[in-house]
Amino acid sequence: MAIGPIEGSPIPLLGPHEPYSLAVAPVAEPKSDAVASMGDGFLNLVVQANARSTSARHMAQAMASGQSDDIHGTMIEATKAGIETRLMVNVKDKVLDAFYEIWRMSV
Amino acid sequence: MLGVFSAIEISASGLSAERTRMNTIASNLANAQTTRTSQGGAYKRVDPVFEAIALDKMRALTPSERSVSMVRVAQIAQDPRPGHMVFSPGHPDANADGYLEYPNVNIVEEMVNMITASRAYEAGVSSVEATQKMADSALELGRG
Amino acid sequence: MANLFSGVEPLSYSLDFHMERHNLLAANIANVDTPRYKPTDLARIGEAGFESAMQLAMARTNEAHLSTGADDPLVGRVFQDLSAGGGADGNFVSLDRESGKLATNRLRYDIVSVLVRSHLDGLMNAANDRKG
Repeated sequence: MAIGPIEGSPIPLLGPHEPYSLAVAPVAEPKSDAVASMGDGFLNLVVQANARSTSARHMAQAMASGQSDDIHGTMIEATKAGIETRLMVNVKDKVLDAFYEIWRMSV
Repeated sequence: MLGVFSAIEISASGLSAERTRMNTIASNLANAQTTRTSQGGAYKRVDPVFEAIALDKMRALTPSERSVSMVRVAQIAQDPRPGHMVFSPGHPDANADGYLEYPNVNIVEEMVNMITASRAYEAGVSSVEATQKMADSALELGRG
Repeated sequence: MANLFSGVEPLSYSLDFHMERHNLLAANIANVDTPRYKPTDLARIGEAGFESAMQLAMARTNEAHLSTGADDPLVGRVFQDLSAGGGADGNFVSLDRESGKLATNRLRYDIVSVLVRSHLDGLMNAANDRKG
């Protein structure tokens, strides 16, 4: 079984003041190939986690500067960002574990 | 947006207004027997006039912010009603007919107003406490 | 990925609702002695139920991230509550009634807060692949 590179549009880099909407750029249509679609799914997760971390940071900054008093909104966003980041890291670990296992098999 | 800051600002405006009311009541009670003032004539009781105003922000209000009002004291109004007249010809402040006008302060009325103001003040304090507790709950969301 | 937090959205909307209602009730209490003041209250938009509350919450979440606060969408329908009756000065606030509403509303906020916390804790456990 040949493993090709993960294809899809590149992850847009987020500047410090870019709004959340820019970050959720659509990834290319998932292909019928299982690996490619898994890669697209993972890319979506990375993009999402990045976007939400930025959004949470903006909300925290607004709270700190006194512009916002949305305590529960800021806390929920920060917690969600933490969950998505944790999920992303764990999925990445599992994907790499699977990859290395297959790698070792073929050696 | 409407959050804890705006809630406290609103409650604080109520506390401030009721405190002003307490001050006018204190003035009325203290001067219940004052027959001579700098304007001449007996002391006239005063009342605060409250009005509802929009939140005070350095920027344009959001739609939700426009749905609430703070309160402020628009003016301290003098009560024009005449006080009761007592025939006291020997009194230095008596008028030409020998009648002395006393302040239009009714002690019972002032006491009732004082109780009302005091209850309103306590309710405002409870509001602030509730806001603080809600903020604590929200902060708990981010803990751990 | 929006599916991951779909259980939280209605709860988050509920927190927004109760916080906004708290402001309205605090304003009623502050204006208990204001002549001609009529107390207001907040009703939920779209009483149709769970789905509409969730759709509303999703829409608000997307907007909230883009907005600077200037286009802060309403979470509920503001209405006048004249049921306590008016006084001679045209003021319709009953201090007892408003204090009661404030207390129950605050309790709901606290309860939903706890629910959100436990839900998010559950999601974090799932993300960490723990059985807890």
